[in-house]
Amino acid sequence: MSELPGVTKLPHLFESAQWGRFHVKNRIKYGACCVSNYNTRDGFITEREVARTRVIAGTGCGIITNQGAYPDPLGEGKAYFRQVALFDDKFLPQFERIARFIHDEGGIAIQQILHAGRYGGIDLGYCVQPSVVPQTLPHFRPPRELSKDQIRESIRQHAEAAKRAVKAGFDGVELTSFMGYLLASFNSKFTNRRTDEYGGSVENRGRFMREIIDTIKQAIPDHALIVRLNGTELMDKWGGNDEDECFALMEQAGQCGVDMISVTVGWQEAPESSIGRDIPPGHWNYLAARAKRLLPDVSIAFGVRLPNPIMANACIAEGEFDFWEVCRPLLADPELVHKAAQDRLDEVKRCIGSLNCLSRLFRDLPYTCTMNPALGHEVEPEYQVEPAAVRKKVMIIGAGPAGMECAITAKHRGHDVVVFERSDRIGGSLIGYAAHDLAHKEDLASIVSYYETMAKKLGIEVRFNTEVNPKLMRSILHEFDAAVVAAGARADCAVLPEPDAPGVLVAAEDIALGRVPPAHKLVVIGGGKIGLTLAESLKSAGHDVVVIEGGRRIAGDVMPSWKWRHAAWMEELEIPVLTMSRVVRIGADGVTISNGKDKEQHLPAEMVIAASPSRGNQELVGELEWSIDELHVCGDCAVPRGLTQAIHDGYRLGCRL
Amino acid sequence: MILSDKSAIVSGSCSNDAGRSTVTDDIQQIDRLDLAGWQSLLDRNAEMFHGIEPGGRLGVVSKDDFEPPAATMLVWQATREGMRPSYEPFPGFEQVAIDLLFVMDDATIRRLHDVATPTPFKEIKSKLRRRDILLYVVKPRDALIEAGYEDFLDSLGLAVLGTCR
Repeated sequence: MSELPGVTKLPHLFESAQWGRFHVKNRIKYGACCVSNYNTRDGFITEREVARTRVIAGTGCGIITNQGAYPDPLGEGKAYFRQVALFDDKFLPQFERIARFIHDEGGIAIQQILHAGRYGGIDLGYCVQPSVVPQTLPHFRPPRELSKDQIRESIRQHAEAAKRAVKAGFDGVELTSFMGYLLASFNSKFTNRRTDEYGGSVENRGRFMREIIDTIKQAIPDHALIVRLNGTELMDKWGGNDEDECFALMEQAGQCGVDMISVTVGWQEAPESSIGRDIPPGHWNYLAARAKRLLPDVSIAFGVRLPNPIMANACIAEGEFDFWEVCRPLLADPELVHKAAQDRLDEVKRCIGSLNCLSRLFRDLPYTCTMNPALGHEVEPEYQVEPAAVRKKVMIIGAGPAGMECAITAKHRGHDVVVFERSDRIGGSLIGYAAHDLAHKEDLASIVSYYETMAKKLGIEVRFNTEVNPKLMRSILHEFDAAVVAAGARADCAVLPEPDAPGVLVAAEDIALGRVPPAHKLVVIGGGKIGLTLAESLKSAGHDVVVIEGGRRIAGDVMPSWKWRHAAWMEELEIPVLTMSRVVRIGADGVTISNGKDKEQHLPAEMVIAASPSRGNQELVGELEWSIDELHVCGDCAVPRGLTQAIHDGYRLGCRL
Repeated sequence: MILSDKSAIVSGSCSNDAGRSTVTDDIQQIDRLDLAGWQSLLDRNAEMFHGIEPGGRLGVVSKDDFEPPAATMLVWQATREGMRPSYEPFPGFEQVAIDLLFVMDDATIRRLHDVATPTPFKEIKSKLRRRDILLYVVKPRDALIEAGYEDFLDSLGLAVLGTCR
């Protein structure tokens, strides 16, 4: 890549390195951050997984870590329904294919061994730990204490799995001593309350990890061994390790001669975010820098909430770490490294930290990505961007995420695409909600920037300030072969009582997009993601806000891994929420509601914001029905479901137009 | 810790259990929180426990001391007549016969017990979110659902189906 323009801009990131006996083409390590859940229930890799890993192999990373395999035949180490296994040679043929893909692309192939310990035993109804310390999340299984014999057997199983990975062609293995998995649960005071030589002092708690490291090094002496370790557990409030203890354990691993330490953050049951978009990029870099200072002779990999290659390049230049470990940004855009090398970072689909991937994993579903609809569908022709059999002239109505995703995909396939947008810019309602996002506005705003860039680069014509209606359609009759109505959705004010006074009831999107200035004293109808986002933002800006919700709970349409975030913000901002409430009257003086027991309450307000329910802007569908050969509807316009579904709908439609 | 209260144990539902009383006799007492106060809390918030099947047991121990066998555990048990409080020795994680176990500091325990605290379970929810209270899920998820805890956990902001951050 040395001739490419981006390489000269990011020289440290693209610098090759000698790592032990391995020559690594750049300083980028694909991290096996998630288990995909694409495989069979009994641990065999599927063609779906093989197709995904072929894409991962082609990402251009110098080191590629294949997703974690559990090492024990009983499945005590198995955390996810469809996690891959490595306890027997019968699994090897597919691992061999994956190692070959990685080598064919010039990468170093690492196989992660993931014994989930506290979070394992998904098929068994129990998990194993150093001591019996119950779960703090209902999702996981009750614990059983490992005996010394079982500890010895687990060490043997880890070493056998390592040998098997090498036999399949991998260049090394990675141990998972983080996140609350088995090794981490021995390392941590929170879960290790043993009184034998495996418990008590940091030295004793680290014994299991050291014995596994030693045994694996003896089993595969010529191959690499990486350990992922917490720089912080975020569990110290309840007796877990503090940062000093985490680094003492890191030092132990370093002294055992591991070839690389991958520094991570947090346990799954930690009380705060580690990778969500409410954490600013670069927030945890200090942990990597500390690891590097502590162990200057050990390679340090890091990438937690560090999605930006420019920042990673600077960190490597500063000596904070040696390898940028990146996973989710490559799930969002597998071309990220290539685009960085070609100085095309403005074309990157950024990981926006929506946590869609984790939300699905913890509902025992295969992971998907908000930004990359093809993830997990690489094996399916229906998700491939192939040249269109018939080149069409396509009109797309609406420049929101669904419309633009469809436009870009259709354009890539060779169609001639024109987007009609009634406002003066690309992005639809997302522009407004990105501006009101309390987490990290740049993440959602990056989606809009991406669409603007791609429209320009692909030459997609966008006709701004153009309202599509029957009159316009008559004027352009027969100019287009296909129309896609992606006109978004709006708050359905018609389901609410007619306001007694004009102007008091305002649709959420009008506030979000700045069309209507909000009054000071507000009632927001609807405690879903739209209502909450607006309420939080407006309260932060000094408005007096009350949220009313018809259901029993707020955040019903929010990603499972993000619900707590809204609940916490609402509480921190002291925004009153009235659930089980039905609107009885809307007037100039406020809203009258009835609660679940038919008791009425008046909420004074100068303005009432309707945030839910939403309904699709489908009026055009009927009007266009006999005006054009092909007519399609997609995104919120079809069914209002939100950003992820809008992007996926648009992409899928673009693939089949 | 404030859960140990000899008079409360003797007058509570443990008083008929001779063996248990013997154990609790040895417990050091620092404070006294009467069972009537706990019963009042449970009665005032009966809706919270609505779905829990009779036999369901929730425990509360003090963060400052829940080392067995000296520690005392407050138990809220579901009966056909509603929730009933009692005190029991905390036997440790391996032996504890409980579905859910709250660990909280003494000040929080006092506030819960205090009839003047306006929304005690809202406080629990808030403190759980910040991990100022820790909830140990002792029984498996399916058993909790079967025993009718889904709404209770949901009310406290805990995703029964699982999630992480």
